[in-house]
Amino acid sequence: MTQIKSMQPIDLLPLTPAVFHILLALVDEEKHGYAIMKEVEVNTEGQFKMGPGSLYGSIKKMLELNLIEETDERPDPEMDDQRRRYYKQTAFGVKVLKAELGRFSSLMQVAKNKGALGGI
Amino acid sequence: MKLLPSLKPSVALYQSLLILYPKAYRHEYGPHMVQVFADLLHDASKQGVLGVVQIWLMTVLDLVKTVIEERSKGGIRMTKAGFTLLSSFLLMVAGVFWLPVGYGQFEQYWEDPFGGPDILFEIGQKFMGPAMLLVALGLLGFSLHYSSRLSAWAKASLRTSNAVIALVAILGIAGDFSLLPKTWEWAWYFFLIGMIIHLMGIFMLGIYALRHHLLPRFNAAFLLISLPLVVYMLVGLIYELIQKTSPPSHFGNMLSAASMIAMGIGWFLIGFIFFRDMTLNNKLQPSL
Repeated sequence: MTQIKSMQPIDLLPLTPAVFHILLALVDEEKHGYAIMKEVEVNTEGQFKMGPGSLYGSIKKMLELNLIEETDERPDPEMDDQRRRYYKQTAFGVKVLKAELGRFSSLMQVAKNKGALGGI
Repeated sequence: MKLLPSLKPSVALYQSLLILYPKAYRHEYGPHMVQVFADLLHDASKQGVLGVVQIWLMTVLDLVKTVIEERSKGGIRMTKAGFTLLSSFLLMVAGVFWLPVGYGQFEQYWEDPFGGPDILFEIGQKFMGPAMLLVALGLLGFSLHYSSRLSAWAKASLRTSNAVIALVAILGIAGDFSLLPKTWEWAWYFFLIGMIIHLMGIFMLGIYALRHHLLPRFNAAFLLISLPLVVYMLVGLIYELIQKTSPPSHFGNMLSAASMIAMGIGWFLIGFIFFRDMTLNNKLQPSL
């Protein structure tokens, strides 16, 4: 736990695709598991899909790394009356996502300088 | 979201399969995973049966990958109960793997509109080695679980059958990875004779299972696996040895395809009832 607390965002980079997409899905509001899954599918235009095992395996890891936290369990008014567990980004999770996006941005700049983005 | 009654068995089966995860993980996340799976099925069912099948295919692959990940995190501590439970699952997966093998056999004899080698036949062939390996692993757990209820000859049939299919599987997979010289005709005969011995062992076990009600249900599945293919292969082998060429009949080849599909269904049923037998009758140790 002490090791995790002393971690810097850069220590976790690069993020796995699942962790990155889950963090991105939680930027605007807290969500439950299925809502995260659907958001990731929409954000990636269906190119990145997770099954229930991958989703909760990543969520478990992200909770351990303090990237996200549970808020509460409540029904989703748009879906049903079952209680669902909601997750949101932690302040550390926000920093890690920004660091990863910064890394992408630097890579894009390198690609641009080399003319690798021609036609895109 | 109200779950459609037709989807409830699917959700119940997925819920049962979660027992493959470590206990702590299952208790923490199991109910949420089932909820997400039910949501996925509900949405996919709007596209009909195909949508549901697609979700199942994705979920089974996801399940295998994440079970291995979660179990390897705490170090592999496989108990006997854990191994037998895994074996039942492997037999079900083996059953699913035999289906494309059989279907590929049908495809082999349809005219290929593109004029090249038939892709479905080639894909189907790639499933054969892994399917046999899964059967070998599954039978090992089956043997651990049921051998105390078997007579000496039934036990010998099961063990012989298990050992031979393991050897044939290794040979098949070595062939898939081009580790065997293509000119080794003996490999084909070894495969053929090995499969006949394996299936005859399963047939003998099936006779015992039917007479003594070894499994709670589906004891005839052992005969479904063994009888059609062993008869066909014996006839084919004798024909080849005498005539020095393969049997020409398309009907016979269609029969071999149907036999392999029957074999797939049989292994799935046995894996499923083996799994139910362990989980429903509380024979499984809860400390998985």
